[in-house]
Amino acid sequence: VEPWIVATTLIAAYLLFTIGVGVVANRRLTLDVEDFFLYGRKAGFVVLYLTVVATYHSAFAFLGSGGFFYTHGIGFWEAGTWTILTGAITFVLGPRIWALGKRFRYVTPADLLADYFESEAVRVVTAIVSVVFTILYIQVQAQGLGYIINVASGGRISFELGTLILLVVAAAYLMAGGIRAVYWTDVLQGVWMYLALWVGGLYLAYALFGGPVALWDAVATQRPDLLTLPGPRGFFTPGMWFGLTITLSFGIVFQPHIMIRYYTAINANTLRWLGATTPIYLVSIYIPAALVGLGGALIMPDLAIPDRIFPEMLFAYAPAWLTGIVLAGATAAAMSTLDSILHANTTVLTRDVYQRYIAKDREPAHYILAGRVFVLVLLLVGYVLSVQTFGFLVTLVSLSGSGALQLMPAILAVCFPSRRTLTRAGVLAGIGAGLVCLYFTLIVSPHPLGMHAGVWSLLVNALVAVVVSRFTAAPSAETRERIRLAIG
Amino acid sequence: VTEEGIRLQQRTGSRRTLVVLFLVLFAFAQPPLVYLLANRIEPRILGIPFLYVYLLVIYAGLIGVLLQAMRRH
Repeated sequence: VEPWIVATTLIAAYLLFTIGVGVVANRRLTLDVEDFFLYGRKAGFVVLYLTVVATYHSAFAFLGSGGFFYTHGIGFWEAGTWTILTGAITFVLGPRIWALGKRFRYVTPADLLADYFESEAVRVVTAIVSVVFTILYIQVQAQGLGYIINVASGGRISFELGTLILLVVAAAYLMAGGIRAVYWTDVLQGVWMYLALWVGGLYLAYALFGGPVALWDAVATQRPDLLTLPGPRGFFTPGMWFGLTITLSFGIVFQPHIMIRYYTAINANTLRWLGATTPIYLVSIYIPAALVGLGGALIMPDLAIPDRIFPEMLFAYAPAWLTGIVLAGATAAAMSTLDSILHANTTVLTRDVYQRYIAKDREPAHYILAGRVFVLVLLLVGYVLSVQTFGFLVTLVSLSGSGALQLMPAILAVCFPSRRTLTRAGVLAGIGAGLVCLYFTLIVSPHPLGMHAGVWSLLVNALVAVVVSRFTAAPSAETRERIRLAIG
Repeated sequence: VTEEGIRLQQRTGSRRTLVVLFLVLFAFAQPPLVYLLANRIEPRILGIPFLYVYLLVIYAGLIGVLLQAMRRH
């Protein structure tokens, strides 16, 4: 049997399974907004762990990371810094955000900020930042899915059709079962993608080099430029290293699909455990990715699209069944992030826009229906964005992360309320200035002085927020005290 | 000073130690330290380049600190 038939069949079986999960989740669904959007705030450790790691690691972990090791060398192993920082942020901020969400029935990040800063403008700006920048992330995942299915089918299914099929499947089970379907499929996806990367990476290392140590030895002999900083193309400068650490930790945690997960936890300790243990999964997944990327640089040195190194090597050197299993794992990696982002954006649009400004005080069923309509709208937007533009995956991820990073000063102000806090005017001015700075430092003149644009924009944001807050009215003492007591 | 007060002081001190330890370890995985101390292939450890092992050890240490923080919580 030809590899593409096995690969495509396994992916198809996997997709059918996820739809089945959506149907089962639908039967458990109650007509309650919190059940559809927040898992009834009852997610336990195992489910939450696997949905967080599967959501955090996306098509990028499978395709982009191998491609990055391939192109820029060992510098990408710095991924450990941002994944561990993500765990630490969850450990410290997660329980605070959870406590506030439970006490005041927050559903979105905008609920949190609007309540503390007593401002509808803050709500609107937060919702816009949340949606606009994570739509870019939908594009990243959808493009990853298109690549995977195109490669898996040996070019028989076009990139555009592959993207559409996988977007439709993700939207279908999300519409059917809400966040429960997302969480349940993420459990499978989290396990599958991890095993697939390890098994595929180790298989290639042993098959092509005789093992990981021999692979490292071959790289040190033939391509030593891949094993030091800043890498063959000078990418990993100190400024870029530090910038990626900040952008891909804080910037991803403050995206709505991760923050909403904090609200869904059954208790605060679950989030602390999550913070302490998720880095083990998040870091270790890059170990086989390094073997794939660095080994691939020796075996297939002239690949036109480095992101394809893993599937290309599998097709060339692995048995068909293994290629199929690994590519289905890659599909899982992309879909687990995609469905979470679709869900988060749906939640933000339903809660912060529709329920707030268009149709107040309706029945829960009405908002669940609205949420399902938003899923369809986002599916269309994501599809159009995916097939219209192309770019290197990590650049897009960085852009998404840098956008959500602008919420950082405001969120920290809520999590650590004090007398000398930020004000609504300060926060709004800071976000505005940060976004303008991000445009110039990422698009007009990328990464000035070798420092990542995310860091520049965050610095400007924080500075403006602090200065403006000195001269404007703080949230009322009652609100600060209410928030402080709720955090405990 | 009550017994509970002493325990609270000990907990706060231990938490502070863990925070400092985390920050120090984290600094070793950031510029300029990572570039000054570890940007080389040799000596290889079990055949693996030095920079890779250096970061792996620091990551293990950081995760250890987080787990310890959880245990003491």
